[in-house]
Amino acid sequence: MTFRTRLFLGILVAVLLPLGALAYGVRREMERRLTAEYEQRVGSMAGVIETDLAREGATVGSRLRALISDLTRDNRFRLAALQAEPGSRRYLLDYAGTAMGLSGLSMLQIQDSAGRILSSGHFRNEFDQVQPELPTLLATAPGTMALVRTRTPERPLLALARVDSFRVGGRRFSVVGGVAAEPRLDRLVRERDLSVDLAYPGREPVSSSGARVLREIPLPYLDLLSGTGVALDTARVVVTQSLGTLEALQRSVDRWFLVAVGLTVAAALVLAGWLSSRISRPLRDLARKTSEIDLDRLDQSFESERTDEIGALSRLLGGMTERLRNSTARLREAERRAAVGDLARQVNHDIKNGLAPIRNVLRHFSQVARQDPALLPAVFEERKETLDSSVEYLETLARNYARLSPTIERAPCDVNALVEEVLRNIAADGRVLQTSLSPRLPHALGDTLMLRRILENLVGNAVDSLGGRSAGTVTVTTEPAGGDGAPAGVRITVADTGSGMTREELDQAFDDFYSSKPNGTGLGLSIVRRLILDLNGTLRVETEPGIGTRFVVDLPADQGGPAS
Amino acid sequence: MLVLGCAPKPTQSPVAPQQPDPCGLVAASPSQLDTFTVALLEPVDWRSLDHALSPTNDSERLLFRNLFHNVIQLDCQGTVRPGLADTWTFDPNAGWTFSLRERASLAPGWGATADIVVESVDSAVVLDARHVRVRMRGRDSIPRFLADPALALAHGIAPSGGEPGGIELSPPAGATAVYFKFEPNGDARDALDRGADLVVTRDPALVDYVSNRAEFATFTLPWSRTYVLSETGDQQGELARALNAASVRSSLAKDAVRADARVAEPPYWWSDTTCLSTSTRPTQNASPRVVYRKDDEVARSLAERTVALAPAGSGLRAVGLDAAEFAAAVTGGLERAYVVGLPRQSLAPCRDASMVPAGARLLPLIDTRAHAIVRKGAPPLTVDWDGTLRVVER
Repeated sequence: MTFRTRLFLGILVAVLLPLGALAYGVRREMERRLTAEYEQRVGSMAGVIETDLAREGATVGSRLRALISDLTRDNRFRLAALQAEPGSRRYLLDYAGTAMGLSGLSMLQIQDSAGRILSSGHFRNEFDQVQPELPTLLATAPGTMALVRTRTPERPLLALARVDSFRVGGRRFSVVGGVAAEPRLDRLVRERDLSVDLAYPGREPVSSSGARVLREIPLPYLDLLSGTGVALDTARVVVTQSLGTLEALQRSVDRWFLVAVGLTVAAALVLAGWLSSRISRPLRDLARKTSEIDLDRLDQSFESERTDEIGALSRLLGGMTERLRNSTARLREAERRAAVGDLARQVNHDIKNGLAPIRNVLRHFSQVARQDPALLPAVFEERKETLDSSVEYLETLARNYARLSPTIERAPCDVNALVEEVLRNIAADGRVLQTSLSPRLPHALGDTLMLRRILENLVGNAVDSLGGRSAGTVTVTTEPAGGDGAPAGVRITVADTGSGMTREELDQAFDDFYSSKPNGTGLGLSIVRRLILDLNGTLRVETEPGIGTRFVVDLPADQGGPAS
Repeated sequence: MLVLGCAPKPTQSPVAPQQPDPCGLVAASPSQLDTFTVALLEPVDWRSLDHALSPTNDSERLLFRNLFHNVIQLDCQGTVRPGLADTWTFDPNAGWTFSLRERASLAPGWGATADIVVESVDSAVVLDARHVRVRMRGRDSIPRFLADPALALAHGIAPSGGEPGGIELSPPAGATAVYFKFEPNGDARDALDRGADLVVTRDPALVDYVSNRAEFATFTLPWSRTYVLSETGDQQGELARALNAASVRSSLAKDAVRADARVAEPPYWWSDTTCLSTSTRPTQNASPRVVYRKDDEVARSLAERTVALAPAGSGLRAVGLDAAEFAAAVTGGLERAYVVGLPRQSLAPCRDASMVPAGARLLPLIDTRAHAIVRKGAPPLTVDWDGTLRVVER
């Protein structure tokens, strides 16, 4: 996890926790206060409903009394009700409808003492139905008022109904009147969040998940439509609170909370970015500068004006770099001195190698001059090429050292010819120097001088490894290498039957200045290895103490050159 | 009050025009009216040929009966009278040939749709401008369906004047002009008080109102409409059982409706027709409604009474529908019951049978009739086979 991420998460947690606690607290306090407020309002509303119901009952009662007063004086009603006078029959049937409209009632029924409907206002054609239960049960209802579920031809009707009675001609009649209940309940509610509904057997208020019942007011109830007989039951005026407002407020708080969270996240991101730019970026810069330091690049600057820990760290790294610079200077001076020594030793070694053939030729001349001076011109002619070659070698050596850095002049080299020339110049001192040269050997791509130095060192070492033995063989083999898809090359194998090397000797054989010979410089194999690497070749050694050693050199072939 | 009795008496010969008209209405007065104003108190679409050929209410029936004429006429007793044709003959091979009066003529295409009215028509062709031949399948009696409004056409009397007030028929010389005055949904009492000379009403209150007005004569017209309860669905017959008691049916006619009504009496034309399908539709999802045309007060009262007498807990409701809705409901046949006012007489049973849902069981409830309130001194009127008034041409 990056420093910036840690910083971001830390800030987020630090801000979101108190923010969440604040949102929760606001929501809870809001709900508590709103609920308390609704409770208070519902309490007063319940009182209003009960008062209103009582007032409606009283109003219906007074209207019924007024109707009764009119009925008892109405001769046509008297004739129709008592004598079933056919001419007044229609008047009787229509009476309730007319009277209901005039008195502002929604339900009006006139029954005789047997419970037969003589006239019905809300449903003219209900006449002759027998419903004695309605007035009887209404009379026994608490407060003599009940919620009656009856019907019009078109729809069911809920009415707040009362009953009254009167006597005409010695017969008793009852009058049931009522007003529609639901419009009155609707009028009671002035508040958007509160609703009043009626619940009665067979119908519960439509309960939605967004409402809760706050109060229930009981009311006597008669259902004339149940079809299972009429009995006094209980209905309820149910006051419910819509949770819509509360939920809207909660949604609003949630929305603002989410906005705050969003802003917090954004601020945290910005803050984390800024802080990381103040903290992690300098650290990253320090890390980058440090990673770029090596002995060749100690020029990194760790200067800083900062006074904090990062500034101190930068200055520490600057001090460390300065010390490294000083140490490197000293090391380079030592290296330079060592290199000069190495160069001197290498020059010494190379000159010795160049002088050895000359010394051998001169010894040969001396020997001929002593033994048969007449042959000296012939021998001179014979060995003159060797002298020229050695002189040329030394001149080239001198040119190369003059340039301090010998450059490789890659050209096709005839390896077999070089092998034969080198072997001619080696003083075998009775040992067998034999060759196995491949006639199909391609030219090697290299520098003739370097190749000659390689061969002289390897063959010279092989001869030296034979030590004091009078018998021994040094074999130089050349053959094409590679093939089968590998780049074509030239393989030179120098094998001897000398003393061989132990594991320890082999491990140090290529180290500078290591030599198992009493007068060795310890540079021969080291130079051979470098020269072979410079020519893009490889060197492999196979040795066994007491048996001998094989040096296998693989060099790249000149792809365009002809086979020898 | 004059009461007309109607007993159909088929005839195959013209009635001598000099005989007294048993269906005539005469409100005698020493002075004759110059213009005879007929108040039409229901909506009338006088431009519609469809309404002319198939009137939708009493006012349209009265208007178009006087604007359009048939080849023959049937009077209130079912007697065949000359219409556009004044003579006719019967040939067992050729059928009935009607000869039109001098000033009458039929278009060549007339009668092409006669088989829609009566399915037993073999052919009804116009031989020439003044001769028509009608052949029936399997019967020799005079084709009475020719008196049906669907086969009527305007003749001779060109209406003058027009909307919005009404239509005046140009009278022959010396005859009284007849003016049909449109007063849709108007109060009939106001119409009479403003000078209307004829009002056809089914409102007993209006009859009561004019009973003390000496300038008017009231004629009771034949029973012209039978209200039936048409039940559909699996519970077919349940409402019929509730309404079938004699006392209940008597109450329907006497108390439930505000109309001159009686308990329905046979014969019913639909008893003899095969056009009413007897198969019951599957109406398991029937709506618990008793529907009626909401412009028909009698149908509404009967629907209400049906609901009142339905078994408790049935949840039935009475619902009034406008004409288009009601027609769609009849076609759909998905209502629990229908209260329909059917014509008491029908010359086209198959057409009239479409007024009730197919496969429904019909329970006749009540018959109703209208009253003609005529100002004294009006021109003579006659009552047609279906109780519609016609001004007698002189």
